[in-house]
Amino acid sequence: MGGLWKQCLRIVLVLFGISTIAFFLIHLSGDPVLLMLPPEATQEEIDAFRHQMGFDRPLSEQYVNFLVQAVQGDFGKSLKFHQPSLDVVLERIPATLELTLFATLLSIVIAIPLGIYSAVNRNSLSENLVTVAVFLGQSMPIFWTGIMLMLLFGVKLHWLPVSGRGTFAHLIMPAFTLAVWVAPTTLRIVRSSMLEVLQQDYIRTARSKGLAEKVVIYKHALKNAAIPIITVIGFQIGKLLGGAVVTETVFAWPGVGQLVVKAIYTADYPLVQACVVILALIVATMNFSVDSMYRYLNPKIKSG
Amino acid sequence: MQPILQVEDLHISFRGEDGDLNPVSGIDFRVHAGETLGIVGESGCGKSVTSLAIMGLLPKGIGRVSGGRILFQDKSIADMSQTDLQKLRGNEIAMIFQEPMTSLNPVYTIGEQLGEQIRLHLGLGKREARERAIEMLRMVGIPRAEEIVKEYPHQLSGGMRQRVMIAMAMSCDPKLLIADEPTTALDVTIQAQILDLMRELKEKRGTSIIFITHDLGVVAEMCDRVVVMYAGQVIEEAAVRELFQNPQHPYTKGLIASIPSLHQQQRRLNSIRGTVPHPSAMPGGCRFAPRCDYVRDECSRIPPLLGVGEGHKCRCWLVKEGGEEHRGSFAAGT
Repeated sequence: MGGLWKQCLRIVLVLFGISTIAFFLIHLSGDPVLLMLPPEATQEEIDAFRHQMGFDRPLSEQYVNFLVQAVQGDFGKSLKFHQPSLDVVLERIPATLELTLFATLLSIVIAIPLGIYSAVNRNSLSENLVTVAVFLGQSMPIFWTGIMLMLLFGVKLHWLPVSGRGTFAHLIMPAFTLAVWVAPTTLRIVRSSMLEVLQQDYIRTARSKGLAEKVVIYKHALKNAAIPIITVIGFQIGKLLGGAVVTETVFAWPGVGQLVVKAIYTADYPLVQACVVILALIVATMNFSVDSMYRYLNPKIKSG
Repeated sequence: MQPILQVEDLHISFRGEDGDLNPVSGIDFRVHAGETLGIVGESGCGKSVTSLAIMGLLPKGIGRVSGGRILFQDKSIADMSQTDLQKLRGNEIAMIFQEPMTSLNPVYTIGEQLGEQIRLHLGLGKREARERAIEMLRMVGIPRAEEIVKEYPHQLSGGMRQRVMIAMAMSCDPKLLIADEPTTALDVTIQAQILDLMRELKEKRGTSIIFITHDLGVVAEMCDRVVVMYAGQVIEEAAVRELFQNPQHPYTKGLIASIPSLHQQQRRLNSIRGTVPHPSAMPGGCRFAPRCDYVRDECSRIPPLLGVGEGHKCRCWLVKEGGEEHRGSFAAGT
């Protein structure tokens, strides 16, 4: 029980830190009023607007106000959408979750079998091919992969829609782009973790019991190798949300990533803050769930 | 009497960084039904590798049987398919390992680890397998067996875990049990309990056992016949009483002499000087020659394994066929 409270406290602290950094970064990066008003606005209009938005008060006071309201779920009205920022973000959340979760799933489907394969067939020709693929996947910039896929499957072959959201076909390219970006890291962890586990005495015991090699690998070895694998997948979801910012922009995917980029360009401060806090909340919750999975995977943690 | 296991001129080679190594080069022995055969030797003499070869479990791509053959019930292990081998392992031939602390899978319950083997080989359902698992645990003297099946390995002591390993090995009534230093990692008192248990099981079930150890005391207690290995070769083989009363090979004599005696006041423990040669630097002739006190000219050639008496064989130039011991400095040395 104490562990649960500690975890919640940790999430709150992370959110506090992130929103503080976001607040100061935004407020120190230029005058929003000039960006938001048309260039022909008079000085009076500018002053009035500044007063209305509260930008004329001391920064410390603005910060305290921001915190007090943020705790109540109020990040202010979006300057562009004229709605509460939080609502605008929450509306976009399903699209982003859909993309990142599907990309995670895809990366797992790619990384786990290939990682196991390269651990089991160490030093073979095919293992070297996997290594080359890993290297390529890791070195390709995410926007480039996206554009190349778009060119091939969208523009040349007309197999998949180039942009937007709607059908499952829309999801494939952006999700695959993200998966190719994160799968290599997962794959490498799967490989090294499996290599270590496969040398353990209990694997020899499992073989000596007459179990089929498939059972030895997927039942006895994989569950023991799982903790580092789950950890890295959890971290990758944070990384994916960062990647989603780029991918959503490339594929015009209407999610939080695309929203935050637009909000930054239009200096929609309340919206940027709401986006950042919500994304941070997702990452923190993900890490929290990873910690809970350890308990399930390792009986020693359960009883200890 | 037909032997259950025959190992004939077995050679095993391992791929090393600079060329192949041969941890086992030409060993022969047989195990008869209901018999306990001891395999004795220092670490690195090839005894564990031999047991893995019998199970068909040499590390894939690294170790292989490079010569000779292993026959289990007259069928060659090398000719068996993976499926045949899987039917053999854990079912007809079972194995207990040295390290009870790490030989059980930490993330599955005892019941699951016992049960999966029972379900696989005996074709029992989940509930029957569980009952059989509990029955096996009781048989190896584990109290509260119904609760232990739900527990994880880390909740048990080393001695308990080794009992679980034995229960697992015996769960499908194997014809041959290979015990690779099963008591080495345990406390002395626990060691005695485990040995008692194994002897009791053997008597009850008539299982043949290969008992691999470096401990001659354990051999004297457990075995019917003993094979002494040195640097990948069998150097002496005899019934256990014969071996202790009438050892022939200088290495065996050295081993026996190095057992501390309770009756004699000794200042220093006897030991054999030197160490086992590394497989990459084997002496050309007799492999024990560099450490032998009785070394002579012939020892630069490999001595044959000669019969020196009823069921007694020895690989040494100093002994003659038929048991006529060569006299000289050798006899005085004992």
